[in-house]
Amino acid sequence: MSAQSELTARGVSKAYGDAVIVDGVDLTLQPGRVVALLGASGAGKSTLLRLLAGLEAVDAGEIRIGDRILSRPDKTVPAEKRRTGLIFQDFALFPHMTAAENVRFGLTGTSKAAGQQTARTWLSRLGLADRANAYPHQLSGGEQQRVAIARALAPAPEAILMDEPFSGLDPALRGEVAEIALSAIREANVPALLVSHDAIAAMETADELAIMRAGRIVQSGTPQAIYDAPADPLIAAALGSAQTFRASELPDGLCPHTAPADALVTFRDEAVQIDPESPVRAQVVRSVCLGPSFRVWMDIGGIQLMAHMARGTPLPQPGETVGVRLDPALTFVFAGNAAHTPV
Amino acid sequence: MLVATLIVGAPVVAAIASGLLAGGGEAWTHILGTQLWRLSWTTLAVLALTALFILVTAVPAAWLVTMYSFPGRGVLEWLLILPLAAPGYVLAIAYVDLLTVAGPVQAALRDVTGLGARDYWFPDITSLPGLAFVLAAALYPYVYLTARSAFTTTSLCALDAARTLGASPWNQFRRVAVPAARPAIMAGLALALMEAAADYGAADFLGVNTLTVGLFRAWSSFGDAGAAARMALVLLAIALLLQWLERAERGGAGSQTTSKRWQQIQRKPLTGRARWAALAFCAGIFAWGFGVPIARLIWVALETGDTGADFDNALFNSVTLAGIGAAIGFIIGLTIALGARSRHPLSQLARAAASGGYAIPGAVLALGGLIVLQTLGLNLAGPLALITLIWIYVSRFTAAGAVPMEAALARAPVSMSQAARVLGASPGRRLVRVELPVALSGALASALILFVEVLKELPATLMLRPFDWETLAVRAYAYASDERLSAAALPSLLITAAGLGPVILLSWRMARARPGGAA
Repeated sequence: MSAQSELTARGVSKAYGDAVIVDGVDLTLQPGRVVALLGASGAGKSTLLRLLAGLEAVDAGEIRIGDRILSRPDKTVPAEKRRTGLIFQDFALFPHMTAAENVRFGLTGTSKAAGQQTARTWLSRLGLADRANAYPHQLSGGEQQRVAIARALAPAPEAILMDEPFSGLDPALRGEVAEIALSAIREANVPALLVSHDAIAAMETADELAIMRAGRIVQSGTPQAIYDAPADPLIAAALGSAQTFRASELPDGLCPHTAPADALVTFRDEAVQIDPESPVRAQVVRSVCLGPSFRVWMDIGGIQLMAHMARGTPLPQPGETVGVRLDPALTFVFAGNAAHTPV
Repeated sequence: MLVATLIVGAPVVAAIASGLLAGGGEAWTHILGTQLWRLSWTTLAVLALTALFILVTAVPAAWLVTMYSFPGRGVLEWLLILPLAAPGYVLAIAYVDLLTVAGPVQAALRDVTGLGARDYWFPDITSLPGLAFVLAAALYPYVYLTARSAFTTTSLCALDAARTLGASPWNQFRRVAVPAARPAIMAGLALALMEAAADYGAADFLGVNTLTVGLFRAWSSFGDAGAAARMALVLLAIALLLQWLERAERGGAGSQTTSKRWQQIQRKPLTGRARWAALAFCAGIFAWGFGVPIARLIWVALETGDTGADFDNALFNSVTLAGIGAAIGFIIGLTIALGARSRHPLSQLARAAASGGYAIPGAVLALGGLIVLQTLGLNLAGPLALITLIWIYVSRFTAAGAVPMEAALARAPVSMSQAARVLGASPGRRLVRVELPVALSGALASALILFVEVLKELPATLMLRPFDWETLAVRAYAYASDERLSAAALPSLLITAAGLGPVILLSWRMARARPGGAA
């Protein structure tokens, strides 16, 4: 395979009527890396994907692969000429073709025998060698999705785009299929984008995250980078359970010194630690053991906090008074007008 | 796409425009003064009574076969659909033969009771209630089908909830199931009443002066196309109102069927007298809509062997017309279905035109076609008449053909075409390799439905056919009008037999489409 190029979007916008769905998006996808595009429904993820695939034309900005322009407002290389592989949430297999015929569909310009050989190779790479002659309705959901992935990869696309590819699968299957699929995609060494609304699953599968909200990409980076330094309380909460308060609501000893009164303070559940030395005292309201960890609800001067802590000490009992501190590495201070749910 | 829209839409628009613009004329004044109100009220009364008959039969029958098991349930479940195959005028012919003074029913009554023909009262089939009785027999399956699928798919959880809350079976039916299925029932009823309003053959034969009959007469006896068009306008208003009702009711129901979760119905076995009552009720409805009249026609046809003159010619004409009409309707239907799928800018208009055509009685469309010809300065004669006739068939029935095709295409997600696209397939290759094969089952159904609808069509054929040129439907009607019922039986049966094809296909597809079977 030749050296693969980056897929880049610069200032890409798309509106339907007055509704701006994608609003000036910049995004770079590097070969061999899987980027998960995260966001709530209606954030514009699927539209961005369709723009990248060439199923829609852009209103502004441009999309390139390497130096080659794919989309500009005055020009769109149509989907059928683009050589991007697209994997759909509903698999979109052709019901009247066998698995092998589905995979062969995109292999034009080769002999029939060569096509069959390629199809077989891809099917066995995805663990479906013995299902080549099955029709889609004879395949399980996970098998169908793997056929769809083989079909998208077989024509050696220049990029792979996936729209919620694993959400249609049984949760028990999801991890396994995702593992097989993404390793095949990484091996193909092309840029890959995966649209998802499940942040936890995306953190497990993707190399990078791009978080989209109201048509814009609000933060991107590795899962760890975003988890450790979220750009606002909403992003913090999307990647793991977190609590947000106004700085003025928090007792003095608990609030980070740097936070102005109107700032928003967000901390992860793991940030709340029991520390007998701490001057901040809290009353335990309820506590449960989750096996490897404890979950403790407590009341500090009228506000309720929840702690998720490793078991080291005995389980605090309701009514007990304990000292509390926040782990600064898991506590974030944001401007008072940062995006957040009501606190 | 533009051509498709024009072909389908022109007669509709012409009929409406001429109705609005046509000048008075003496015939019109006469009709307006004496008849229009009476015709309108008669039509509305027929529709109301037909609706009543349909509701009290089709809805309970659908409930019984869905929720309970009793002897014969499995067979009756699909036997109850069969009246869809027989047009209203065929049932009317059979019932007149059965129930008039000289018919076998009254003869048997006299034999048993020893009364003379003037000594007792017997319901008159050639009356307004008689027409409603016949039309309801022919059209109740629309409601039966929609009610049954609504009972099957939507209300199970609610019923279980009702049961745990202590509702009796009657209350489950009355307070939960029927309200939940109401959109489906009303949609089915609207379709049935659209057909009832469009009926010409049964009403004319039973001597009930509905708007469609009046329109036909205004045109053929008075030769006043303008007056006929005015009457058509009232009919159109009724049809469009019904179609609006059907759309409005269906609107919210569309999403209910998309769930893949499926709860197997546990049919409750009926015991004792209830099981025989259920059997008798459902079997009675089947006998009313299909069993008795069709058996009578078969009897008459076999007994007399009367084929009437020149039968082969009519058969040939029917099959040719239906074949050509189905082929053209099919192509236009496919164009519309694919256009709707690719969001072609004209596709909404084309669909509206097609469904408008389907809602509008054949007699009204035929009139529209005639008006278009008149405007173009052409005379209805010879080959042009046949072309016009086929054109009207296409305009009227394209929607019926496009629906199964759209349904088949809809089962294939739009993402499938897009998948083919991103795999580099050109539009032509997508059509041949992906879209047509996927739509194949729907396409076959569509062709079959178009064929049978054209075969059954009566009023437009009567109005537009070249002089002396006959089809099976025309013969059945003409012989019946001449009281040669024996000669009407055979063409009626042939039309019904042809109609059985799509009906059986329909019930087979419904059985297969049931979740739990193979995908």
